[in-house]
Amino acid sequence: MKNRKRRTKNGGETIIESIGQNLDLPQDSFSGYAHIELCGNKEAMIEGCLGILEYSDCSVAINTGKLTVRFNGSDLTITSMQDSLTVIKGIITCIDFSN
Amino acid sequence: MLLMKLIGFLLGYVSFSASSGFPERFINLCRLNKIPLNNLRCSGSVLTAQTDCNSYKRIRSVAKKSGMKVRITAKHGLYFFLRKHSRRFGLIVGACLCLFCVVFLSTRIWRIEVIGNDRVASEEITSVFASLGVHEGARSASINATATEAAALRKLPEISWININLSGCTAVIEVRETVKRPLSEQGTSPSNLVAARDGLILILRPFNGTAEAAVGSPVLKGDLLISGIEENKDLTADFCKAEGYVVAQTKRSSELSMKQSFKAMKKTEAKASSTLNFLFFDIPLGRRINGGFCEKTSLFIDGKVLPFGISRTVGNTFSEFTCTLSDADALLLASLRFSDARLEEFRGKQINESRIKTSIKNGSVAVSGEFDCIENIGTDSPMQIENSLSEGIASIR
Repeated sequence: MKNRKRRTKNGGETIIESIGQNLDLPQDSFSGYAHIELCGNKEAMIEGCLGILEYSDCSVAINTGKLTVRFNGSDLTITSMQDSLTVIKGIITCIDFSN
Repeated sequence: MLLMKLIGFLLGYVSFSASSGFPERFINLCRLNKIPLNNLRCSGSVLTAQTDCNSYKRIRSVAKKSGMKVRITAKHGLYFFLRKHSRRFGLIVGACLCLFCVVFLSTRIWRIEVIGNDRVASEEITSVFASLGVHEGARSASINATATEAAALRKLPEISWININLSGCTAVIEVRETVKRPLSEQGTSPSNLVAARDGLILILRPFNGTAEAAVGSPVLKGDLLISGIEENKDLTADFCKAEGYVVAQTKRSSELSMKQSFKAMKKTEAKASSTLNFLFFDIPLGRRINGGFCEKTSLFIDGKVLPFGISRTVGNTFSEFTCTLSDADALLLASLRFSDARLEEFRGKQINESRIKTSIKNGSVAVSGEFDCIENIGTDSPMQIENSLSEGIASIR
């Protein structure tokens, strides 16, 4: 099962991901990506956060497993951090995704 | 979020600052150890955050692993407040008492309002309802509105409809009074209109019946003014209730006498006592006085009457004594009594001329008066009609 899951198609997609895409299922339910909700540029809610990689007043980098998400801005505050749910408040000017 | 804040307030939470070391490692270790962090803020190398009381006890080991120094900056919430004041029993007892009062009083009726009444006094209605269990201090939930309304309707014959509305701690009793039948519709049995007094007729207006007197003619008491018999063109007679307006010039005289020396009551002692009212409880503040004049003052907040108040009762003691008035005082008192007594007698009458005489003889004061009045002298005199079935003739007695 483990080997089958890791098997990829062209473009780096796993078989399960491609099945999910064909069936129009939500990506975050099985693909392992984090679920990020934004409320304007004032608040971001990240579900599936595995750890904080960098934290300062103007930048917060979050490990979501497959991706590293970096929120840049000013006066950034982690208002809540429980289990895998993290809420960031402040003025978000930029979001970077990197592997 | 509001619920989280409320739970946080009730259970208590601490604000702390962590400095030096590795903030990111500290945050990740907190997450792994399931230590919730709120309002996490990083300014320079100092990290400030909030967590609950139990989690803070576990934060020391995490801080040690990440090389951070943790220090409490503030303690918030009810838990810390109660802990701080745990030795102040009065505060705790007061808070419990306050909570009990709020819970207890919210289930009781504080005030009773009566609306829609005109003839029937509000006090009469509230006393009837008090006898049925709807009074200040009664439990709102125990009131059976339908049964109470029906019972109150039976006890108040002048009320045609009653409704009780409980609005918070106020019971609003809405009533509709019965409408009395107009006077003209009262009794349709045949009657005559006769003179109630001697006089000279000035105006005669028969509304129903046949006029038997004429304007300008003198009449004696009991004389027929308007007859209740109406004659038809075929010489048959109909009996009806005679109605009309007969204004006549009359003469009236009255007299009043009183002695200069008489027995009267004198106030010798006045006692006052106060009572604290709370719902249906009356707590006396001093010696209780039975009878006397009672004045109740209730506490108001924003126009609403609260179930707290003070009643002040003043009781007077009287003793009998013989009062002897001077001539002038006796005349003044007799005149005042005479005019007071005439007020009701001359209501609805016009006095054209009056002659009042006063005299003092053998310790007695007399006031006499003669009045020329203009008044309505017509009064009903019922007719007795006996039907003779065999002859079909009506005879009038």
